[in-house]
Amino acid sequence: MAGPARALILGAIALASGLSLGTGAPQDSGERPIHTRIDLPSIAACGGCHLEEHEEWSRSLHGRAWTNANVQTATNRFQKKSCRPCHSPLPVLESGLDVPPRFRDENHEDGVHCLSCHGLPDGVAAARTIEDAPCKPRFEPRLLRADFCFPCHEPTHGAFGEYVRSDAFELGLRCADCHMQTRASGRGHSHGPNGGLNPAFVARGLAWSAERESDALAVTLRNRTGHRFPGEIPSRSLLIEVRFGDDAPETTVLRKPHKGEQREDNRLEPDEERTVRFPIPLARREAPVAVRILFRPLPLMPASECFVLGEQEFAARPR
Amino acid sequence: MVATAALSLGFAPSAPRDLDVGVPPGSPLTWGRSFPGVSPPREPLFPLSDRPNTRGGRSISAPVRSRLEVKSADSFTLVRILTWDLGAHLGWLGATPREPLSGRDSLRPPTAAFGEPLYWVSLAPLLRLLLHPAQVSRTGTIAHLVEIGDASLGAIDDAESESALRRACAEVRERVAPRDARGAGWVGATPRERMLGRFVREELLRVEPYDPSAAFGARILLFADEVFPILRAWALDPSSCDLQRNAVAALARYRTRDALDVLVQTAAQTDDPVVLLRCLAAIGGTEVRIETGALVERLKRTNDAVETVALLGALGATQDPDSLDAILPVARSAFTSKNTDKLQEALIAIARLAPYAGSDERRKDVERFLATTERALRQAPRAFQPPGPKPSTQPDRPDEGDALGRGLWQLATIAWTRLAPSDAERAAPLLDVFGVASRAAATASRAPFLTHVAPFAQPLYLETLGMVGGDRAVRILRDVARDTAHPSLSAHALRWLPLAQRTELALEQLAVGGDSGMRVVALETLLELAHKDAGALCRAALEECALDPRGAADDAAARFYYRSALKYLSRTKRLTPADCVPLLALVRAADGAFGTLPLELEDEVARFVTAAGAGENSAVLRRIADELLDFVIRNRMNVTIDAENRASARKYLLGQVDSAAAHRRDPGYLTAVRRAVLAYLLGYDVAPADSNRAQFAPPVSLEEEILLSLGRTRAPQAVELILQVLENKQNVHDAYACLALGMAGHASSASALAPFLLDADPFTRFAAYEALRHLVDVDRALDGRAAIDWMYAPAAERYALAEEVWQWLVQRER
Repeated sequence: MAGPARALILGAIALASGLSLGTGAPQDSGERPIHTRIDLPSIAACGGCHLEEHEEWSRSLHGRAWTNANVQTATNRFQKKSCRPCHSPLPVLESGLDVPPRFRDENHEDGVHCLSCHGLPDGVAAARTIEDAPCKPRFEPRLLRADFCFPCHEPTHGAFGEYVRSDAFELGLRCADCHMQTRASGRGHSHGPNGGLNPAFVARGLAWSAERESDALAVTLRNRTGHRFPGEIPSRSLLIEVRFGDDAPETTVLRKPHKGEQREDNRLEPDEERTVRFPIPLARREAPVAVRILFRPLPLMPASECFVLGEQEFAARPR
Repeated sequence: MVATAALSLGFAPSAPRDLDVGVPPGSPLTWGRSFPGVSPPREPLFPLSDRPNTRGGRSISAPVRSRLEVKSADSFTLVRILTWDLGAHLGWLGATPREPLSGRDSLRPPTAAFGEPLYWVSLAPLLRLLLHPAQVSRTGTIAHLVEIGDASLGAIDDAESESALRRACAEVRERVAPRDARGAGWVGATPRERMLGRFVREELLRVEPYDPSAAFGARILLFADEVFPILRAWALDPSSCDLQRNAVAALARYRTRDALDVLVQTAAQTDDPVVLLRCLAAIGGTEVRIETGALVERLKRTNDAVETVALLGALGATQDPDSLDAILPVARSAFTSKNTDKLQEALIAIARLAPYAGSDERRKDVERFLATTERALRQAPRAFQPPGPKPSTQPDRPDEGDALGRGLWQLATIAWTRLAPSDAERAAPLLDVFGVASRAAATASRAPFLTHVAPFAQPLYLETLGMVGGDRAVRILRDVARDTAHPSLSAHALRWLPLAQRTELALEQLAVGGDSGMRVVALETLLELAHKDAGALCRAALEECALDPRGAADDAAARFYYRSALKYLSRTKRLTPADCVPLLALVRAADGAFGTLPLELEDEVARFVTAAGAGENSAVLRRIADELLDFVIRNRMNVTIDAENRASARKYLLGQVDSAAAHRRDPGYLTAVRRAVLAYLLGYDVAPADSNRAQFAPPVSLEEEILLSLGRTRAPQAVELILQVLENKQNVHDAYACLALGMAGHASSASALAPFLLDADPFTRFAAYEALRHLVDVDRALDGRAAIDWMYAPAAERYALAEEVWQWLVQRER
């Protein structure tokens, strides 16, 4: 096609769609700038400039909030409608931080979309304002507050209520201070995966020690997080596995009960230090003792694949 | 499969393991045996009437000995890297490898780089040596790495940065560097022989023998009898270093007397360290009596420490008491000079040969040496220290000062016991788990998990307990066999339990279910014993397999379990086509059946993203998106995308490429978009696994075995089922289906094979031709004209002949 004719047609299309040509940010054929379009997948809306963040996010539970097998099973493929808004939310800054988000009934596969957190009615929220960036991010103080996570993590998962009882809250630490730490490179904050599927991250949340007493093995656990441990959902559990001599291992499970389940919520409270004593059977007083602390992030994960947060063996004790 | 790991918990009062790495139990000279590997089928695919390589009508591929082997089905058992953040401890990890030395022949893969399975299996022994020099022989570790060959150079390049490993790495490098690049030819007398020669050469070189994520030799070993002369010729011919090294690795998989003879002969005359080490490792693993004269001579002649320990390892397995006469002087010299590496291997060899010690004089000689050694090691274990420089890096639980001396003492005690296992006095330290658990043993019955036995002595300790027998020995063996935390030790223990307890425990482990690796060991144990319920157990395994729509695609051990069951039923002629019907769903639907489809899809996705980046109009993009979705839906590649949600899937796809044009000059972005689109279409992320986690799994040819087993039934129904598989144009197992059709032996089905003579895959063409040879004797029917090189001959020649074969088949059917 000849140059002038092509330009003419392009101009006509631009006028018809109300677009201005030649401006800074990449534009789409719709009415809104691409970086505000939550109807587009995150890779298209934001990935173009924020590839590293997109890569981190795509491995995180935010990125897989809709697609991961655990939530698909637990919600009967989201037939349980009350779960949908948090697993595919519209921007929380638009709906407000004191109410659950609204359901984004498109691009479900993107789970917690970039714009679910960064979206504003008229632009993009960020930790600082950068005038000359294509998406023109605006400083938004709410983004830096701990209650920014409230809309999704409080109503059903109860994390925020736990947090306000914690030392972390007293100290002014926010959710993001642990879950979005500064990257090793020093550039920006990590967008994931910094949660229950990251074994190194989980391990940082628990301190523990074990001591062999005359008649018991004392295992002391200290929750270093600002919420209960394990956090939020019943599918995560902490296992203390103790073995006396050649007996079968004895396992204590700490987890949140499922809805309707007759079970005490025996998880560690924020900052709680708890000593669990396992009486040593009389016949095993001199036998060797072994203890392992395991974290099972998914309910059906076999013991052999659980994260080993620590293990210790006590040699046989001579009479 | 996820590697279990101990994590950094700096705040924990009692620090758990932070930096640590394990290796399979036993001497480094035996580690190679725990690598997953393909073996030839027990019976040839086709009758052997026209084969020259038979002895008295028996196939050379019949193994000399049937016994349970402990193999690793996952990366954790094989390398046990226990530290997730290894890179934080050892800054040199992942340094860029130097120029690959092994890529000289265009067929050979490049040296394994950081993150690849071969890198990890080469690195793990070095890390073990670095962190626990008292628990592993330095010379043995070098021997193991030399056995792996120049594929280990990627890890060696990196590990050389660690001062304590520098010399060991240099010693490996010096030995594995390829010596000669001249190619060895294979002069076949007929086109068929020349074709086989080229086929074997390509198969030998394209995959590394010790790559745990590849199936080295899988296709040539299907024709074990026919390719044996070629492998023998290359094994004995030093003119091509690469071919000779890999030919002996392939022969090691045979475990036949003929192959063993070639390996012994090669070991006696080769001067290539890799060839020698591979031969010796194979001889050491066979455990049958052989003529050892040539090896003994070599032992007497050599001054090389690595060669010495490797020869000791092989001779120890030969069951030839005469070799003790050569081993004892080496052992005495090692003891006097406190050469702990040589002493370790010499003690292991003596222990293994002790039951065959024979003449009184020799026996007394052995007893005298062991008595002296045992006393010295018991009284002054600290006098025996590992060689090599002190490492700058330490694990959180470093070796104790007397660890090596104590381990060697345990070996001496084990050897002493094996001279007279029924002597209760000799066996007492073993039953007492070397004294550490004496009080506990009296009350609580055992020391847990063999932590008091040196790792290099553990398999031998368990084997000796089996020889000792009695309640206490059986109890220890049973406890170890039940310990699911250490699958390879548990398998060793099971192997040495008395028959009744072995059977009982194996049945118990199968009933409990649980870890797939343990189930494999339990099932193989029962099959080896020909247990009366073996058939029923195998059928139960197949039923379980049929219920798994993906054939346990992510669990290599489970696939191995199913395949063992299948092979047993097939071998014992108990398999019927009806048993295979539910399993054929795997052939059609398992990941493997997608074969090259994901790659094709990847190409199409690249086209889609490129088009979007080039600013193609929305109609074009919609059309390509539709084609992508058609492809996925038609091939049922992702259960979440179907005709019903096709519209929303298309919208999502188009959305994913919406910004591609704006970022067309950013290759990083376009790559990310391709990955995101592909992940969406496939339903899983195609990003490479996090290499720091060192996870990998061996391929297990379950689908292939289903087809071959079906053919082996030779039932008319089997022919129908195989034909159905061949009709599916998306099937990626055509070659195996062709072979199966030939094995089924129904000449009326021959015409279905003709189209596959024109297949794009050379191996499929070869398989179709093989099947036609055996079904209708196509060579004789066409006066030998059909015997061309169906793999590599020019296309025109193949097409012309395929047409002729087709015409003949049609006429024949009329």
